[in-house]
Amino acid sequence: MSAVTRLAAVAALLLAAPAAGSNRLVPPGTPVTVARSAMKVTPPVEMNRLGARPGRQAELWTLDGLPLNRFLLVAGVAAGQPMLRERDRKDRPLPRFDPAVDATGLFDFFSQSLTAEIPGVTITLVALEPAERGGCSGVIASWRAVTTEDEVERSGRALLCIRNAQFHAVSLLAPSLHYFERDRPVWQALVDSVRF
Amino acid sequence: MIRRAALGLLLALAPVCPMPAAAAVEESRPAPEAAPEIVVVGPWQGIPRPVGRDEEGLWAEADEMERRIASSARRLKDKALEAHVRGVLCRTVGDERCRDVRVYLMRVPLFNATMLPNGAMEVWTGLLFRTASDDELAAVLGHEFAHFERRHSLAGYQRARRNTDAAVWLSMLGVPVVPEMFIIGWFGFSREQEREADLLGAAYLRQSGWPGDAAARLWQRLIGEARATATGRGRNPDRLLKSGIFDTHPGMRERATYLAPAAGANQGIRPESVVSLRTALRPHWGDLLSDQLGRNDFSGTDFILEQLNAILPDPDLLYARGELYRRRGHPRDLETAATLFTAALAMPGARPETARGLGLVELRMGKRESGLCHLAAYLGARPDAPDAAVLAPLVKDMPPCQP
Repeated sequence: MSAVTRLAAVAALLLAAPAAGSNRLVPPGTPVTVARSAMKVTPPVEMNRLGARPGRQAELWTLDGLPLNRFLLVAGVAAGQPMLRERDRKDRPLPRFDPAVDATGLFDFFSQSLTAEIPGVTITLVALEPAERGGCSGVIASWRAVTTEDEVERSGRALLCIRNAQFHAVSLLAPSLHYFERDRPVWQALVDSVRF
Repeated sequence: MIRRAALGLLLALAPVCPMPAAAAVEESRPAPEAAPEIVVVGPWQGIPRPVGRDEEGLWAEADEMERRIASSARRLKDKALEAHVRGVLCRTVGDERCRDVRVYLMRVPLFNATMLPNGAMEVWTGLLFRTASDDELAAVLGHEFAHFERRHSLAGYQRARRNTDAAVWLSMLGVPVVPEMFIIGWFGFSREQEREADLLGAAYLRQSGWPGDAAARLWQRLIGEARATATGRGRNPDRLLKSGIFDTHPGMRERATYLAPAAGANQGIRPESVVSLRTALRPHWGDLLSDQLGRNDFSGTDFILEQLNAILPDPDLLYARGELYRRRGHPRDLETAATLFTAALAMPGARPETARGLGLVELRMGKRESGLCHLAAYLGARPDAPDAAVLAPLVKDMPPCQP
């Protein structure tokens, strides 16, 4: 095999590899840094962290697969930045974070970002309550969501908060039937473990 | 030899698969003067029943789809609103035609309505959000019913199958087949069906006494929204208004143009038609607005809300625009939002969320006392609001006040 052929084979292998990092298991009981930020959470059970991240400041975790339990963790979104990666700036622009937003506006920012990320989703706010974890102040939001993709009703719950003028979120979205209530304690443990 | 014979067959099939050149409509050029196309509603032959294996198969699929629609989590299960939409349809096409139609409202924030070949009609909330009046709603529902009456689903299915059959035979005979040739033909065929449904829909409007310009009026507004959206996102607005070879519907400007002569003498929007639709939508206005705001289309949304409010001022529309500006939150937006919320509150029937919006804006503008007073008014009217737990601590020690 000539040097040129070998080089081409290596290049082909590199190109064939997935652009994003591979999925990883996250062991329970160990603090884990989220999206290379100052935020750490400690999973209560073994969880899957997806290699493909929905944004520079966001990670997706799951127990059984995203349709069944979608844990979206967002950390350190600065002023003027979107919460997730803006895939199509012209046709599906994302809202930008404004640190001056009031507590109710945190949910508007979060839900509008999700609407752009999950095609055909409709979101209905159920409740907002004040919350603070690890010096990050904001709200805990509960909502219901339906997508045109599978028309399953899902329930969502999220800690949405601001620390040092940066946006952070720990959220769960799961089918209202069975999965949401089953996995809510895992979300609660993640939220209660938030540290900076 | 075989290739030559196959080429002959291909040419013989040419009318079945029209080439794209004629389909592309260059709308920037003025269209030549043509006699206006007027379609008349014929006698009703009874609800179309499936005839032959093709149509029976389509109906079976439609029945299955209707089962999914009926039990979908997206379905807006509001009997009053469903009855209102059905009432508009029945007035438009007549009780006889309407008898076997089932109407389903679906919470999807896009402009669309569809009708299955078995008589099930799906209407999306994005359509209701953009429609100014019952007569405009009648124009869309009549259009969908026209597809049903003319059995367009069956014709489209048979056409698609003929084209794919021809492609298979030609490729077996060794003729190099370009799939796009058949696909493009299908898109042109679909546009012709849409045009036919538009014109029969206009005939329903004329016979039922609705203003005949409702469809053209609605399309003009949608054109304006599309232009505003494109401009707001830095795109060329004119690109959206042409119908290209891959479009299934005629371009919006083309539709507005050919529908205008079919309108008849009875024209102009009626306030009672506007009030009737807005009253029916009022219980769902919060969700409709929230879904639209979630689309992140500031310019398009602002255009639609401003246009609807110009037709007949309404506190819900002023509130909606106020929310649009409040959520964007640029410094000047706060002033605009405050003005809109204040104007809405000055009108009878303003929803309590208007006081919430004004209160939050005033807090951001540093008008703490007035802001808290408006939030207290909101919580007084909506003690069980989803955000009550977040806002209540702010107004806990407030003395009684009059916003």
